[in-house]
Amino acid sequence: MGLTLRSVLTALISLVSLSQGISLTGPRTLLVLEDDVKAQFQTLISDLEARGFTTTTHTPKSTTLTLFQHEERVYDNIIIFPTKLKGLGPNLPSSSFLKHATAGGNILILLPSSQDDNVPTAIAELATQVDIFLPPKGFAVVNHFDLADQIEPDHNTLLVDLPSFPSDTKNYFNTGEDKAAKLLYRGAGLALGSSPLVQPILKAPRFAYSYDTKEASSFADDENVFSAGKQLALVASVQTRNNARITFVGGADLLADQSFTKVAKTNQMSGNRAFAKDVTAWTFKETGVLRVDGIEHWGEEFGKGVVNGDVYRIKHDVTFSIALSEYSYDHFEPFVAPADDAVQLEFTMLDPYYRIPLSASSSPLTQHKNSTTYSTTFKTPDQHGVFTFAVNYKRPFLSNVHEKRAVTVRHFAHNEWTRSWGISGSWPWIAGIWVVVVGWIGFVGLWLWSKPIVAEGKAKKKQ
Amino acid sequence: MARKARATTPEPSAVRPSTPNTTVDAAPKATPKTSTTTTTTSSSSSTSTVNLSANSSPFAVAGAIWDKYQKDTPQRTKLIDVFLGFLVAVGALQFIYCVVAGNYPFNAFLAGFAATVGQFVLTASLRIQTNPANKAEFSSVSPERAFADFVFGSLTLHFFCVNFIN
Repeated sequence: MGLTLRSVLTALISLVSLSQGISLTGPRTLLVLEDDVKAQFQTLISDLEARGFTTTTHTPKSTTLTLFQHEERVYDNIIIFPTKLKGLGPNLPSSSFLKHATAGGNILILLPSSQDDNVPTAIAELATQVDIFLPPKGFAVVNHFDLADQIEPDHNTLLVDLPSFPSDTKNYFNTGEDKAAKLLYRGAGLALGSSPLVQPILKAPRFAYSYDTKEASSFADDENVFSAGKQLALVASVQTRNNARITFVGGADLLADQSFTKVAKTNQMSGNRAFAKDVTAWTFKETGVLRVDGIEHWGEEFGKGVVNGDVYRIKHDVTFSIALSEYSYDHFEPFVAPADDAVQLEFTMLDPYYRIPLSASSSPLTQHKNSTTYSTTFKTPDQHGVFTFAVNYKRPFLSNVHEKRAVTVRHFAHNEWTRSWGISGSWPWIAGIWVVVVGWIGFVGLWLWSKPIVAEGKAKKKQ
Repeated sequence: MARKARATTPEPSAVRPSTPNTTVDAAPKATPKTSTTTTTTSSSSSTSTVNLSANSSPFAVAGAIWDKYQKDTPQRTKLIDVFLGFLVAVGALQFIYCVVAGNYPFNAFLAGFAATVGQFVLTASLRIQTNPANKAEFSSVSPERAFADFVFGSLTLHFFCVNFIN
């Protein structure tokens, strides 16, 4: 029921948006920026509006700004642009951002690129709360071995390759036409905690490091290096347990107009604009969102006649299938798991008895439009009880799928056991019984035939 | 061999008083001589007497027991004993099969083996109740009644075994 309602709503929303790209969270986007900053991000904002986002601009100190009205989110997405202010104002404490995320809203935070600018306290607090650590004021990432611009004295502008991930992870951040394009980056970088919810999107090049420009202008040692190499994240994101997304961009210039230019070294266009689209699209849930279109399971006992039944028997074949689709800007399309990854099914009673991969089924029971049906057939274990079909698919950059269906697994009915003669091992014992029975009949016959003579004599006497 | 060995033994009359066999006194004079000349004492003797002494060989004792059994046991009791032996053989075969080939399916083993054991117990009961020697103890149970009980018990046993083996 929930699925159908949701798909109807999705259809309505896509009708309203008139085939424009649209976030699954919603189009209402709050831009927290000062007027003088807005000029630097014209392209980013106009690209967002072209994809169907409706933007509302507020200055950080705005008194009329409120994120919640009648306990409902006012905005679906928030972008916080860098500001020279030390604080964001009374209406934007760090708790308001967490409340926004808890309510399902997404947040994109652009940290200042210049080491001279402040990071507002509320932002630093929020980062710490989601296990992302920002360097203090005055830090900058440098890379002396791969200069974006030979004439830049500080080497503060980095050339960074577009993100690449292991083959078991989907890459939503390299969808531009030029896969080899370089990104221009300037900023302080981020250090990530060990939370499994935190994922680095863009990592620093191997020889880059973030250091304190005030204390160590000539050289850097252990004391004033914040982080270095692949340990240093430039863009990182947190996907909360309710699938809200909070993305930190270490340097706002990455998404600013000034970076949507040619790279001096290669004389090629930078990949920043496409990357800006990818980052905003992923953060605002235009990509990387999974939907379960249907779950079906049936067993050997009733075949496909009873689908999603409540009861299965031990040691019977059971087929389970789940239809998954993935949102891509304005439509759902079949979800294809990465090459080295697998959607898995767990058959669980307290512990998983089975954890088996699901494979894309060529002939699903029910055809779902725009979705891939993953299925598998397995034999229920020799254990009766209440089991759960569970698909727990939580992967970086994909929204969480955690579906459970509880079923009863019953034991054999009394008439389902194999009869004794069906098991060849019991034949000698069956023969044993019947030999005794036949022998007994023979004995009884002989007994009656061999009536003692003495008894006859006595009987005659009595008569 | 046994009979010849007995001929070399000392005068058996010397130890005769200690012999528990009371029937020996019926033919005291024939004892030493017949044992040396005839090898089939039981068949020739008109009584059930077998001349045994404390020094008789085990084979002679076994033979004497066998002869006495053949002579004194009623026909029906012999028939019971044959059936009991048959049940022991069948039960032993089933048990050996279980040991050698494994006890799967266990209920089949239980049913098959219990059939022989149960039948053995019932038959042994019949033997006790119908033996003329025990008449004093079972004065209230006639052999016919004992046999009817036996048939009823056996049929019940067979019914349960066939059901249990499934």
